[in-house]
Amino acid sequence: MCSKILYIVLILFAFNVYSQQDIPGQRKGAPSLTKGFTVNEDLFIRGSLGVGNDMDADFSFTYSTTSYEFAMAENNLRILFDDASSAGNYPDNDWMFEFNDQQYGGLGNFKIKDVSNSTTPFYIGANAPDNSLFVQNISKDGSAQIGLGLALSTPVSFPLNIYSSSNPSIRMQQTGGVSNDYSWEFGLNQNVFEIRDVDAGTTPLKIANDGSRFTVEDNQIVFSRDTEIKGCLYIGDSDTDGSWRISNINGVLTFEIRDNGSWEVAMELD
Amino acid sequence: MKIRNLILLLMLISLISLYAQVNPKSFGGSFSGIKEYMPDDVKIKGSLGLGPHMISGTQFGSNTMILRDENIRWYFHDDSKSTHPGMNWLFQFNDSVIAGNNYFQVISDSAGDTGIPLTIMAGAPDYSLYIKENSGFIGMGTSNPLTNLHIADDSNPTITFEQDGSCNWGSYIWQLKADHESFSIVNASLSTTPIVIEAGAPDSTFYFNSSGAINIGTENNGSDGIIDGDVQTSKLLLGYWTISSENGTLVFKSHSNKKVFKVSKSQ
Repeated sequence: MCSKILYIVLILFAFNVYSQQDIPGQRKGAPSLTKGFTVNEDLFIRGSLGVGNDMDADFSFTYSTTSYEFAMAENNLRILFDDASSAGNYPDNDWMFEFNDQQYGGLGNFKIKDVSNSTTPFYIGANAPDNSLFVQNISKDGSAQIGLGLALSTPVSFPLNIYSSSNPSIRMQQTGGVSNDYSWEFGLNQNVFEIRDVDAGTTPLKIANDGSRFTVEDNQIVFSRDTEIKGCLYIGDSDTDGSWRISNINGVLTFEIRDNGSWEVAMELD
Repeated sequence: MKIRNLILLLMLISLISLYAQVNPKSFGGSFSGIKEYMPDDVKIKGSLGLGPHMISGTQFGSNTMILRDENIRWYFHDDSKSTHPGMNWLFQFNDSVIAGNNYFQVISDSAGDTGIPLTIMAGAPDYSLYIKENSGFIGMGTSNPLTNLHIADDSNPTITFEQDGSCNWGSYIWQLKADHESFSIVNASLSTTPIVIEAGAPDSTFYFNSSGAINIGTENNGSDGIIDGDVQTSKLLLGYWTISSENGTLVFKSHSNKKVFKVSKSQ
């Protein structure tokens, strides 16, 4: 009789325990662990993983039409990659993914930090437009193309492609020190390509559309259109004896040669 | 009777084993011995440490998750059907060979065909690549990019254009350089600087208008170019004609290189 009662108790206990087990593909009552514990083996999760001090039991891994395999919920989101290499000369640099500044009034951003060297080499500010940095390879030669400001939907030939609704520009800034801070820009719009001297506030070079008639080749500068010279034309060095100067002086085409430091008229055409 | 006892003993052992899998805390809060398998979502209200070198009792600080290993790799396996995008991706941290490099890489992996579109080497300075809030402007060496691409360096910020020779053409390098003295276009392969614009050069020092005319020192829109100032050259070519100075004599030559006209110093 005792044996039969024991059998019944054990069978009921077995059903009770088995009912807590999760069967793959079916949702069952998962165990809830409220304190830290250690898994000393590989862990496989056929579902999603949520981590963080603010990860609630009712957290949804679905947002809009997207479902997440992994989510974090906390007021300081950090993932540390601690390379534990110690033997010999193996690389052991530590890295971190950091989401948003930590301090009050800080900025929203995603950063990749080089923990070992205390630098932040990569930064994406919150609300940066779509395709601020777009990398693809759809060229025939296997080279990469980078798009700044636009997804490259068709093959392009150039490694760097900069898009903007207005005045796409590149700024080059020397930051060496107070006296040597200097910036140049080059950019374009629908009318002109130009090189701008930012610190002087000037635009020393402008090329209007369809105006590319200027080339530098084989030690020659080529002007492809008629060109009026309002000043003088020097053949040779303007400071060296033996050089020539051609100029229009009051309607007279004047040819002068430099001799003993001064210009002497050699021929005049009236 | 012995068989009945044996069955009872086996049932007890199996139940204890089953119970242990459901309630690990009852075994000191530690799993071991088998590959653990969770058939549903797992939510951790706390931090997560991963990797064979993770030490029990690790202080997480502000870190929500820490991965600790000698070779840290984070693999994203997309098992979409072939009709859908299914590229796999890998985050890789540092080489796994002696004297290898320290880096972070984003690697695409399709059936062993890997690509490395992003590499950040350890020790790269702050804001080597910076994407600014709202504007999306890219900073290289600056956290305040003011144009679509803003390159900052303590000396001589430079852009290099390299034809790398991997095609049928030879390798060749040009550079754009900017500093407090000038903006210049450098032929790095020949070590020459064919175009220099000095800092402070006035507006329209060079103005190439839409008629194709080249203007120097003036924003002229006529079909003929204007040079508002002097021009100095070693030789002037006018169509088929050449004007040059030879030993103090101004020589006009035709395209056949025949001297047809000379002007000498007045005697």
